[in-house]
Formats: sequence, C-alpha cells, structure tokens
Amino acid sequence: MSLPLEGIRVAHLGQGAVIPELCRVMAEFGADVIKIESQVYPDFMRRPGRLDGELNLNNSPGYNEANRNVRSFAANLRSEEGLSIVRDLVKVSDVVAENNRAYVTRSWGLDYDSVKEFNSKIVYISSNGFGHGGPAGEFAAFGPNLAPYLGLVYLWGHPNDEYPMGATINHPDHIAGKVGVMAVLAALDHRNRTGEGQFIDMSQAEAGASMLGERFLEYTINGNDPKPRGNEVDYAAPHGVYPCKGDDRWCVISIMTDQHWVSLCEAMSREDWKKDVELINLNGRLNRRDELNQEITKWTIDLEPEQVMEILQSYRVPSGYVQNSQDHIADVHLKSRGGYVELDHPVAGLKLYPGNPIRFSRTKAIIGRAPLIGEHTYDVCRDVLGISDSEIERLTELKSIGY
Amino acid sequence: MTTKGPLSRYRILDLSDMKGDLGTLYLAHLGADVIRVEHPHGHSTRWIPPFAGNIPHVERGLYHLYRNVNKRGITLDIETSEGQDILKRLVKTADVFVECFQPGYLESLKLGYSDLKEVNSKIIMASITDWGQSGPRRDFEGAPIVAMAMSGAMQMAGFSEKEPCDAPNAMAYDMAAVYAGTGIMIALYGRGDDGEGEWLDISAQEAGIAGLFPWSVPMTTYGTVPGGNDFPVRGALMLIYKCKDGYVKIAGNVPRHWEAQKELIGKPEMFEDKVWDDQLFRRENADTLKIMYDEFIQDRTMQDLFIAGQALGLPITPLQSLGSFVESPQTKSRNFFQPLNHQIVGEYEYPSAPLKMNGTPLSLRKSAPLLGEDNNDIYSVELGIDADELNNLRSKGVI
Repeated sequence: MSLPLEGIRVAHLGQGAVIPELCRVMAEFGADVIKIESQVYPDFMRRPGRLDGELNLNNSPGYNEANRNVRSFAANLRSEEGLSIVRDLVKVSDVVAENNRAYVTRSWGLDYDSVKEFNSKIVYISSNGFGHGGPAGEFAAFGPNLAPYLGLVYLWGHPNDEYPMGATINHPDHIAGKVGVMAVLAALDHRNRTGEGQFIDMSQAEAGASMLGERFLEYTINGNDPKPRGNEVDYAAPHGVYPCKGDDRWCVISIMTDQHWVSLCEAMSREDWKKDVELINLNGRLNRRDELNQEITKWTIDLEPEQVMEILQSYRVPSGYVQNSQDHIADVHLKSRGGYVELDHPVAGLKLYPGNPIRFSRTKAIIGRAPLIGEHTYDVCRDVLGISDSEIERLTELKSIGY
Repeated sequence: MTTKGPLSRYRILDLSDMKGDLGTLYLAHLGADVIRVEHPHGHSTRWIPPFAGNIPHVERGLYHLYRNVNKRGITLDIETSEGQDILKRLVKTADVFVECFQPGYLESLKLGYSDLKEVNSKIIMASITDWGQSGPRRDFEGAPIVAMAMSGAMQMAGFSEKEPCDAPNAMAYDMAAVYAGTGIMIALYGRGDDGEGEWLDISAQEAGIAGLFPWSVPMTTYGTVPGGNDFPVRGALMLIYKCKDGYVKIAGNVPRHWEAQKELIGKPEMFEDKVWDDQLFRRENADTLKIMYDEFIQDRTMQDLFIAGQALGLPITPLQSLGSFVESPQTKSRNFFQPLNHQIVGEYEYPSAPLKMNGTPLSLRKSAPLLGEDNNDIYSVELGIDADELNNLRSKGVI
C-alpha cells in the first residue's frame, strides 16, 4: 500500500530536535528523507552516544529516536567535492530542511537564494531559534534556551519557588517540528498546483510562544504580565496534584463542571459537600479551594495513585496520576494502542521508543530504526545521483563521502 | 493587506475544544477556511478566564480571542435532526472534520466517521480525545492536567522536593492539537483531489509522550528521571544561572561551546587544568563548576551576558517574562505581534503565525468570530437555505 508522502524527497540538513522531528514524521509517512551528515560534522544529538565508556556516534538515544526511518548520507561539507555532491542531491530534492545558525547554509552555498538558482521549485524550510532577520537573527540557540527566552520557564513553576526552573523537556521544539510539517506540506501542495517553490522562515521561539497565545493576550490586552501560579487554574476547582501512598507518587484531579463536583462528592462519600450550597458552582469552589485541596489530600494520601484514578473514574471524575516511564512500560492502555514501539538497532540493540501518535484508519506509519552514520551513502549515490561505482570509490577514498 | 495563504482551497469544519483548537488555528493561519461550528449557546471554551478587561462575556475570553482567529463561526445544535441534516450538508462541502467529543458520542447521533463518509467519501475526520478511540481507558474522563500527568511530562518539571508542577497552559492538549494538524496535512496531501478520506485518532496522552524527547529512551531503558537544574547529565552545561538582574540559561552542547564559556568567564587560570576540557569530568564535577560560574555571572546583567555570550557563539539566553518577550527587540523586529481589530474588544496586539512564507504570505484575515457571526453567509449564501427555513431553524433553537 502506498504511503501518503511517497514521492517527496527531502534533503535534510538539520540537527538536534526541530528539523529531525519534522523529517521523521514525514519519513514515517513515506517521504524519502536523506540526512546529510558526516563524522567531520556530526549532528550534535549524536554526541551523547557512548559505548563501553567511549564516544559512539551510533549509540545516542536522542539521535536514534529523532531520526527514525531516514537515510543517512555521509558527505563532508568541508570538502569541495562533498559540497558539490550535496548540491547535486539538493537539485533532485523537493524539500530542503535545515536548522543551523543562519550563516551556516550560506557558507555552504546552500541557503535558499543559492538553491533556488539551480532548483527553482524547491520548498525550503529554515528554522532557527529566533527566526531570520532582526538583531538576534544569527544568534545560537537550542530548545533549552528558548523556553526561558519566550517566557515559558518563568511561568512554569510554583509561586514560592526559589527561582524559575521550568521543565527538563522542550515542548517549544516539538510544537515547531510539527508546525513545520504543516507548512512544508501546504507549500508542496501549492507547488504541485502552480509550480512555485518558496522559502519558509520558522522561528522556534515564536513557535513555542504560539502555544501560550492567550497568556500573551493577558499582557497585550489587559496589561498584566502573568506570574507563575503552580497548579492553580481559574477554570477548575478543586484541581491539582495530590500526594498518594508511596515514594514520590501523585495523583491529579480536575473538577471543571458542576457535574464533576457532584460525582467527586459521591466518590469520596462527602454528603456534607454535596449539600453545601456554597460549593455547587465553580466560583464558590474557587473561593474555598485551599480547604477542599486539604481535605482531598487527607483522602488520597492513604491510596495508591492508580487506586485514586480507578475509584474516581468509576464515578466519571477527570483524574489520573503522574506517570513515570516504568508506569508507561506497564500501562496496559498504552500497550493496547502501541504507545511505545520496540525497535532493534545494530549498535543500540533492542529498545523502547515512543510510537507515532498519528493513527489513521487506513494508512499506518512505518516506524523503522535510525540509520548508522553514513549507512545509505552508497545507495543514495547510486540510486538517487546515478554515480558510477568507480567514482563512488574515488570519492570515498578522498573522504568526501562515506566518512 | 490580507493574503489568502497556501491552504485557501480547503475547508475545515472545526467542532474541536481545547484538544484541537490550536491545530486548526495553525491551519487557519495557513489559509484554510476553518469554520467553528458551535452550539447556539456558544462553545464552553469562550468562558475560559481571564477575559478582556476582566469583564466576563461570551466574546471577551482571551482563550477564545487567541485560538479562533482567522476562523469563521456558525452556530448549530447537532443534537437536533435538523441540525444533523445541516451538518451533513456542510460535510459535503468540506475536506476536513475535526472533533473532540467522547468516543462514541458522534456515532450515537449518526454523525460518526462511517456516516460522514457516506455523505462525502473524501472527508478526513480527525478525532482528538484524552485517551484515544481504543484501549481500556477509552471511555475515561480527561482534563488538561490529567493528560499532562499521564504523559510523563510532569515528573520532569520543577524542583524534585516539591509537588510536580503542571505547565502554564494545556500543553499535552496543545501537543495533541498540533499532531492532529500535522496528520490532517499528511492525509490531505496523500488524498489529493480525488482520493479517499481517512479517520485520524489522536490521544492526548500519547501526543504528550512525544514531548519527552530526548529523555524517553534513557527513561524506558534505565528508569532515570532527568530532574531539573541539578540533574548531573547536564554537567553544568545546561543550567539556569542567577545574574545581577535576573537569570540566564546556558545550553552548551558541543566542544566549541565549552571553549566559548571559558572565554566568556575570562579567567583562563581557572581552567588551566586540562581535565576541565573533558565533558565527562565536567559532568562529574558539575557542582564545583556551577559555583565557579555563579561567582562570575552574578555581577553581570542578562542583556550583557546575552550579547557577550552570543558574540562568542555561546547559546545563552535571558530568562524573560511573557511581557519582556513581547517587548524584546527581536520580537518587535519580526512583527510577531500584529494589530488585530475585534468588534467588541477593539484593537489589540496578537501573536501571529510563528512562520513566514515568501511565496504564499500569511496574514491576519479576521479576528475570532462573534457567536454565529457567519450564519448568514454560510447558511443562506453558501448553502442556499431560504429565509423562511432559516427563521424556522432559529425559532427552534437549531441555529
């Protein structure tokens, strides 16, 4: 069965998270993504790879997750012949995707203005931390920089925290990768109808900010610069994280409607709450949220988090618990849906990776392992670029490719 | 000047809630004709506080004012048979149908995927739910904080000795919404003009799990939970530091960033011992390194460190509030916030699409729809429902 993105060839000059993730999603739905990398200039996400205490570029869990299903073409961009062969590849590609600092592709002669001269129909997505142009247009940034820069870390915490810490995870990156897929496919659709390629300039900081849009309106409309509020919200009460039996075990409960409230009272056998007229609507519950939270804690503290969820859900109360990866591995619900998939890799071995959350009724994503560095160099040279075996041998000996 | 955007030929019926509205917003920014289909009383997301001017009002919710820009809006009670007929007539004209109801709800109204497919075989239906359309928790209740907790993301936020902290927005839901938007584009592209549709099943828990990158595999393999600022793997390379007027984040990933950090600190004698050049050594001695850094950083300002560090190629950024981000020179110079006029709220600065396309420029075509704003255009002009029938539907509360 054919996959929806079959026939699209992507020259992947990205590294790290945003562009690899964009490319992976496209590759898992049929695009031929050719990642250009080399030992001379490896994706920094390969660097944490270790084997027996030694650096091993093929054993980085982050890389091996972000680059599933793509082909690795080793070409040395610091050699003239390596560069020239990459230009040939770009010539026969539909998409260029990159997230280097702004001047890097220019130095390779592979920026949009250069590429459109020899491939006028190219759809070119360039995503850097701060977007092109402006005083920070050529600044360096990784995902962990952008969450603090755009205000996410400042807001993500408890009001009495010693300092703003935020989270170890980088959702702005993940939003940007997907918004990038949407834009690339929209541009390809436009190109298929008109023959016109184009340049997409995506700022990762803005992509992250775009998931906090309504919070920004608090500032631009109401003149109020939002402060961290921990687990307190105005659309639900009681609402939050409650300690459970065990070490570092927590459940979550969110009472958004008056019906949820009645159900919670029944689940906890709190006839007194159910009869309390002050508590029948959200405003009344918001006014007394501290008291309600204390009472709920007294109830959850002696229960396992899974138990709280089972009890409350049987009364149709929105609830769950703070899962960790061991919970995920044991989770029968996730298992039944393929939330994680097991992949074998020649160096990393058998490991569990998150699945692709895009589940279609007809088309299934192809989830294949990440490539070894340069694994597909020969195939790409021969099948995509039509280079003869003797020439491949010559270029390999020069370490222009295959290294 | 308003422009059409690359997706202007596509129509999306948007019956989503917090789990989908950000995805349809991106598609609307890309030019799709996104039509919000709301209950005649208004969608519940219109009442998410706070409100413009802090005045609770169906048109003033900041959440609504952000997430429904560039969308049109109609009202329709899909629990009435007339409403179901009209919805099916709309489905005939649409490419995509997005919904976030509990699994089984639309089937009970004869509006499930198989029913819609009969009306329009090309329709792409995206169903975004807390738990997905299958599995033992399919019919469980959900909430933004529940999806975030179940995704594993909350164990990785904040100080380890405190209670886990949720994000300041519905982040797992937003992840679900962008995965839905991405899936919709993949299906649209694959379908072409004549192909068959698809049914897309997105679970917010699974979408949230995708946000654990790059820690998922280390966590499932070794059970390690990367904590916050004191997490040793960061080896003092990825920390938040207190400076004179706030905080900065340094994220050095590669050897040249270490060189830049040494230069920024400007005290070569501190790192004369070559052992510091070994990343593993730095990781093991992260606490010592942090103390050395603190001493240097505490006397300098965020802006000074940002500019001086970046001049050396070091990924260093100030830790800003939302307001500081709005006012920062880069944000201003890219016109990320653009003026938008709303009939009731007036003109305000709106965070626009996070990307620029030079061939098919994007623009803010309209502010969030007033309740039922486009009923006339869509029902009378486009569907050709005559005035008598419209009045009849109005009096019955269908629209």
